[in-house]
Amino acid sequence: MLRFLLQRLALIALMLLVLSGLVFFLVQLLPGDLATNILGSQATPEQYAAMRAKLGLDQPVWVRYFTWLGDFLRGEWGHSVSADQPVRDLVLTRFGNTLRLAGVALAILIPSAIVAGVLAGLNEGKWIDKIISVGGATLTVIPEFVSGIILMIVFAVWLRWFPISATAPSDADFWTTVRHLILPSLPVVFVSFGYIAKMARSGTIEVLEAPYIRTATFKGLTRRQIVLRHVLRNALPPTISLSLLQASFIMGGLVVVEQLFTYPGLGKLLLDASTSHDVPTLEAAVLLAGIIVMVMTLLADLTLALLDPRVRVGG
Amino acid sequence: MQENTMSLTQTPAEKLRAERRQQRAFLLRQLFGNPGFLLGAVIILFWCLVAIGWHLIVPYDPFATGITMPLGAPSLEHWMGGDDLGRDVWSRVLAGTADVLSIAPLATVITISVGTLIGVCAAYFGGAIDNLLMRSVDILLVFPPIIIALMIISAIGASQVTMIIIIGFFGAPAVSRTIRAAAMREANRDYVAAAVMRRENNGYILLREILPNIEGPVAVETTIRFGYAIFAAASLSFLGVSLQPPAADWGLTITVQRIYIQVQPWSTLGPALALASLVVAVNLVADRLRKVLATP
Amino acid sequence: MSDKIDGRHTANQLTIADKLKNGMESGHMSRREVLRRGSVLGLSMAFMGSLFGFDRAAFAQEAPKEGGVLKLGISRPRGVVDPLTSRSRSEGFILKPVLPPLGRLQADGTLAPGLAESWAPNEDATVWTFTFRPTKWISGEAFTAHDIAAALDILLDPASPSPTVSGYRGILSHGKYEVPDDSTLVFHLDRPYVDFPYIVSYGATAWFPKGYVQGDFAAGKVGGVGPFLLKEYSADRGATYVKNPDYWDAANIHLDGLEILFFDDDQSMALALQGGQVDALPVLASSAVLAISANPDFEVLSARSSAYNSIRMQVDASPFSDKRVRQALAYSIDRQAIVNTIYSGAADVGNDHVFAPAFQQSAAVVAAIPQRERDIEKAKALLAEAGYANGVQVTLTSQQYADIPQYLQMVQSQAKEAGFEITLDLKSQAEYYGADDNQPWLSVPFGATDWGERATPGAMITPAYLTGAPFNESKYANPDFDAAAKAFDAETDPVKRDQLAIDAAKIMHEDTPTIIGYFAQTRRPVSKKVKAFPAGPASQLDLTGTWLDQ
Repeated sequence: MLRFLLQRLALIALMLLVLSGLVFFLVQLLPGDLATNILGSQATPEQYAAMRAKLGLDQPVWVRYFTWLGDFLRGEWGHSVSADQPVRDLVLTRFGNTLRLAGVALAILIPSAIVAGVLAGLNEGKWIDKIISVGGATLTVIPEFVSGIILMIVFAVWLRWFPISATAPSDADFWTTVRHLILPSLPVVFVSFGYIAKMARSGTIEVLEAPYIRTATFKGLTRRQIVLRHVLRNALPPTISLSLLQASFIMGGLVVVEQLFTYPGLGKLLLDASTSHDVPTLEAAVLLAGIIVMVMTLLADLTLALLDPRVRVGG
Repeated sequence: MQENTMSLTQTPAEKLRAERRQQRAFLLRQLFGNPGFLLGAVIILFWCLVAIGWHLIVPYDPFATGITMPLGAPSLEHWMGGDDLGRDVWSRVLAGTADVLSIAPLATVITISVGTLIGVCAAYFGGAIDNLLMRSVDILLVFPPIIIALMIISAIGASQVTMIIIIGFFGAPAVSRTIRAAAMREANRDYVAAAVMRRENNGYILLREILPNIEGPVAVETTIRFGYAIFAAASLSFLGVSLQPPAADWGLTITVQRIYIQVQPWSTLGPALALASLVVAVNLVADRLRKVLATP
Repeated sequence: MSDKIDGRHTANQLTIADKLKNGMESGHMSRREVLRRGSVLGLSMAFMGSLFGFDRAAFAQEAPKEGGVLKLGISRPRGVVDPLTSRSRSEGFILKPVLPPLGRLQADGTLAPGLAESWAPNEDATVWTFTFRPTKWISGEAFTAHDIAAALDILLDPASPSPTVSGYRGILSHGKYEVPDDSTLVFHLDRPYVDFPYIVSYGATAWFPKGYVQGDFAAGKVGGVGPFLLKEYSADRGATYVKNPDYWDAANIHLDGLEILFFDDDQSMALALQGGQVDALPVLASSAVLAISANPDFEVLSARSSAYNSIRMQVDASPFSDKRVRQALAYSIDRQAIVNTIYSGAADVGNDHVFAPAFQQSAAVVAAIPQRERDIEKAKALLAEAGYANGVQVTLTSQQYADIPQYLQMVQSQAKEAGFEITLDLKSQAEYYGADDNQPWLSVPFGATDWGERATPGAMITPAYLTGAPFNESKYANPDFDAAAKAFDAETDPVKRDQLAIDAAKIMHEDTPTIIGYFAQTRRPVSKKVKAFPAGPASQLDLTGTWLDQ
């Protein structure tokens, strides 16, 4: 188990190195120039030169990459040139916003998808199963911005059930904040709902076919007791572990949703940083997003390995 | 003697061909007998025809400004009203089909070719090659594709070709996993062992022996990936990194018209519903295909 | 007319006043123009009122109520706002309630006294004398002319990070000013410049005390000379202010305080206004204004502006090296349709010269040069004469910024009819402006650039259209135009000045180095409970007289 863990950690370190290098060198290809971006088009040559020196743009790419990487590992993420504030503050503030949005999304996603999946599994082959399976599979394929704009028009513009803006006033209470985040979180929920429901469904079916369930049935336990005692206990853990593997999709979806709802999260920051060529911010934001996805994947791997020893042996 | 040999070698081949013909007919009945599949296929066919021939069916020039009231409400003349520049929204929805459907199919071809190649090679060669390929696939699958694609496109610039290549390659790792699993089952069968005994070269075995026997999973993957390619292409153009105005592309139109939803929702709702109908149709087809071909 | 009012003005100013009076009586100038012209030359409102026979008080409407905090929404400025680095409108909005401009520019183009109580030029407008009112910084030290001189020493240093230096280029050089006494500052200009008071009252420049250190503003260490005092400032959220009881014009500041909130984009700003989070938005994109203008609880104020989008054609590159091709494009676009579609009418049609309706000389220029209307036949004929009878294919390079994509798509669609096959290449803003050797906005043969609001026609022409000017993106070069434009900047006589404006505008219109289809107005959506909110100019926000009806 320890070897497995170390292996995975080494893999993650390697992946982060690849990711940071990839991002850093891609960013160098971005057209335009940060100094112009900050100063506007009508500055004097002296101002440009001073700004470029201040930004370190006069140094070679390699030097800048290793300088940056070293600083990043030491927790010094640099100074955001477009926002003119420390990158760490900026990225962590925005990440906090994204966590809030992701929190609402997960709070809706996990319970609803699991309940739907278990229901489908218990009613295998019946109409309720078909609706959940087909519905889930359909929602999965609709791009977040399409479901998002439809939800926005129907529920915020026409019915006015939800606010159109994702950002609550700064003095809003907890429930108001949540209410503002429901519409933006739904598209993300939709995309992953089908997958998790499917996992829960097949988990349930597997458990129902297991010998001990038959025994339990012989022992005269009611269906309700069987579901609560055995099905949920045995089908839930792998489902939750597998849901962690959705982190990559959820992260990608958040970029799109934050853009659609102009929500100041990590995804919006990432997109804005890439258009304004804010190298330190972009690097830090992408790396943070990468780290989170990888940690989630690692957690999924580990928990699955714990639940099923065959995974450990198999590799 | 001669005749004899021929009949001996031909009869099983003919039999096989006849069997396959029968199988195909059965499959087609299974597919088209299903209302979901039929509906999906009709919708896809509709959008494909529109993509090719929108010039012939648009009621107005989709790029001509001032055709109708800017942000005008839907009317008999303009089913979905006008956009911010007074262009006919319905005409633009039709014209936008061409943008989506010029990227997704070619990207799918790349996805499937690359993914199948990797999957089949990993399964057939096994050992170190399998390990190397699949670990690389693991790594690629972990990176959020939209974020990486976003960066590559903003760095090297967007053209139709780069979009097709990027979307194509990003789908490949997932395909290679499924194909590897299917090919593994085939690689362990007798006919492959027989071919190896005959000292056929590896290329022949991969292409002529294994590949025809995994056409089911490949067909299913193709439809699924086609859906994802539409998803990816639309999302990237929504994020504004792909096409430019005045393109009528659905994703781009939604980005641009979004600010007017309180005044004229149809200029965003039109392309949104069109896109939704296309991806859902692709999914209906993929779903039935998977069931009929009985792949996991 | 009392001697007391008269006594404040120089003989030179009185001569000008006389000429303005003649201009008005002969019907050559409207009352509004007389006011604008007189104010920039330093004639006081009271003096003009008595001389020309109208009373400003007549404009006053309801009696204002005292009190209340006005909440404004603006787009988030980059970084920590500071007068040393301030370059954007947003930064100006944050700074100026505390550090006001020398003259307060009004929506109607007049220049009201600010930190400077009065100003006057010498005969040829090369020497300007500004007189300051006695007031105090919050440190307790008196505000003097030395403060402004010290600020200029820093701002006009070519290596300073301030954009102020580019606005003064060729007009006022570093060190060319003197302080004869604490309340007087004398400027010695590089060349005659009649509109100089605008230059020192415009843009994002905010004046600061001697010995100022970067960061003092954010720390709340400066102020006292403006209508408000900074109470709290956060680079992330915004700023709050309280009324300054010691402000020289405190009687006309009716608000108890001011709160400015930052937003990331136009849509959230518009939503915040509709949701009651803010009371007014000093700047909002035309696309976002649309949703608000339908709402009866809000009023959208408009003020004329000199900002424009320039569709410029390099005069040395085929096919635009032929003047007829440039004119053909100018005749192929439907300016009124563009104004109606993109701005719901809230823009003034342009005539391919920079004498915008916001400028004083506009009326004379408009009367002298017929408006270019859409004329497809004429456009086709011009193209055919130039040898492009079968049409011409061109690529128009520009940026994905504000209303530019909308404008260019309409031009693309309209010009098609005349035979122009235009391909749009819309880059990101960073890419379009570029840097060093790669600055597409200067180098592409056919491009569209956004030019921000300027105080004077000279400030528009000097960087962009004079032969060899640093930002002459159309490579326009016409000695006659250069001569007319320079003479315009130097002419004090209003009637002669009008003629020079007409001369310059005519040459530019005829040569058509650029198409100026319209000048979009500044739009300010305001809740109906806010009264007497300034409609413009876009970069200024003078809250004198503004009050809340609660």
